[in-house]
Amino acid sequence: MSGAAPAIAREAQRQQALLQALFAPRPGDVPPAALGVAQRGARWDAGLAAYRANGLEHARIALRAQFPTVLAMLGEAAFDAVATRYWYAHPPRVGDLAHVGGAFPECLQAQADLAAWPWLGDSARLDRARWQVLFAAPARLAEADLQRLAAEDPDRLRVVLAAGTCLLESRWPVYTLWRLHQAPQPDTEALREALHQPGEPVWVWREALRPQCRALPRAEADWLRALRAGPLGAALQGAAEDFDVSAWLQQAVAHGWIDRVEAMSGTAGAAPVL
Amino acid sequence: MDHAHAARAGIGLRQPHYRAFGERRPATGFVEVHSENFFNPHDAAAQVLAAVRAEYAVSLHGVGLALGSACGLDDTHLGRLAALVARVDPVRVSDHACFARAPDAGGAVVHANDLLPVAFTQATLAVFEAHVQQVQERLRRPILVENLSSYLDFAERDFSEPQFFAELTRRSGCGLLLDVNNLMVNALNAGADDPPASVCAWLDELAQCAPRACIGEIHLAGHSRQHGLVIDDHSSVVSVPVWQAYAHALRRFGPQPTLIEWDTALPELDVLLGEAAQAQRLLDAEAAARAAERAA
Repeated sequence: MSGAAPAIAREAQRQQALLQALFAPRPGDVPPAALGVAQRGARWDAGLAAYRANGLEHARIALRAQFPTVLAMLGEAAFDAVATRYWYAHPPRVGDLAHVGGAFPECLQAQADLAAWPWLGDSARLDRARWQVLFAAPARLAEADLQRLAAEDPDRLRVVLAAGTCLLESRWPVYTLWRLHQAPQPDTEALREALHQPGEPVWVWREALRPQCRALPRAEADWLRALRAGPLGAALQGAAEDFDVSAWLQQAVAHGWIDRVEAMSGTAGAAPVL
Repeated sequence: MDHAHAARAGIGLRQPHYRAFGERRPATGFVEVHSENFFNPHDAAAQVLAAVRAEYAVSLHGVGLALGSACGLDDTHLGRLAALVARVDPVRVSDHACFARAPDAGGAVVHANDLLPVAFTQATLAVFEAHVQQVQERLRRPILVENLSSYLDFAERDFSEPQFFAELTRRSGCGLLLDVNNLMVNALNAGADDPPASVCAWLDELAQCAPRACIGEIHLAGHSRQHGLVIDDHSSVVSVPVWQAYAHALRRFGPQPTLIEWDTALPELDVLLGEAAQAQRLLDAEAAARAAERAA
């Protein structure tokens, strides 16, 4: 294509001009000169509007699927309004709308007119986590991993949590809010009460083909943080007295929370896994 | 081109029909899905597709490669498509003659997630040729490229649209996925005096300038009028003028695998199957007419 480079550069400018027109907060009345478009006046307006509407509609549908709790909290009209702002403020970078919602939680949090609902961002993060775990491969835990757990020095072992798990921290009771919004008509009194509760760490994982989540007791959340941070030995040492490690391990194996147990070359300073 | 499944009509399979399709296992020539909806190898949709593939020919139809993007293809996207193709072993792989990617003011690439129109220029042809070859080398198979419905077009052009596709197929070895509804939408939006005649003229020009057997599949769908434009929204039955143009295409290019596309306001599965049955009748009639000609 080297001989055609100037002409290709002109096409690149044309394409860039059309994309800018599509993602401009307001459509322009006149086509950009670099576009060289054949249509003018009302026909230009209609053509541009068709593309703007189509892209936005696809994004709204994708965002509604990825953030069902936020949709339930805001209602369709308000959700679509925020989705529209998001579309123009955070144009997608990839051609797969399954990944369109990456910055939606931050976008929600940044909306001044949603400041009275400060839990929306974390609720969106929970929705996002439930969506994301479905993209993870199943855990690979094998018999050899369990034997290693039983036989080797825990200070030299690291428990690697499955990619399809996520520990979500929040200063809001986001699990309770999520649970209450599973009802077609959420109990408004229960929601009001929930908002006075302390924050909830939430554990998210995939169980076969479905996302699961539950609020974590403080001891279990501490345990998971410790597992992510370093060797098993340190996690065991720091575990709360009333935390039943054996019971947790049984659950973890049954639900596919552990991907593998691996030997560490050092005894500390392992990278977080999630 | 695929011959094993030639001259059969199929349907697009969308999520609301997964259950009904799996329970009924209807007789249909092939099933087409949007590639991007199955990029995740670990979700329920992947299992649905694996079950469908065990019993049906599957065609993968992408909407995200953005083959005409002057800034280049997304290698991650192409890699995911290659992995899907390896898993599914589809009868055909296709995408659109569009662009969608371009850098924003800061230089980061934006993907519009839409099928944006391209100018039919030498430069655009060079971009498509390079990108189609890149995809075909990665997938190790020829692909089909679909003509667009477009709501804007460009004053500058070096080719008519049929000439552009003829050159693209000749230079890259790809096939054409001929969307007859898109041709009708474009003719209507261009204000053609006689839209069906305009579509037939487009097909005649393609037949004159394109390599023989350049068409690997035909798409049929419905359209609607919204805010002064005809929109290719795949939300209704195939219109009578599109059926007429389809019959003309079959006369010109012979029976080809034909898909009924329906993406919004999905009806019962039976409606899609009924449309596919109508396409199959026309395919069979054309095949019979050609057999009779050969016998005479």
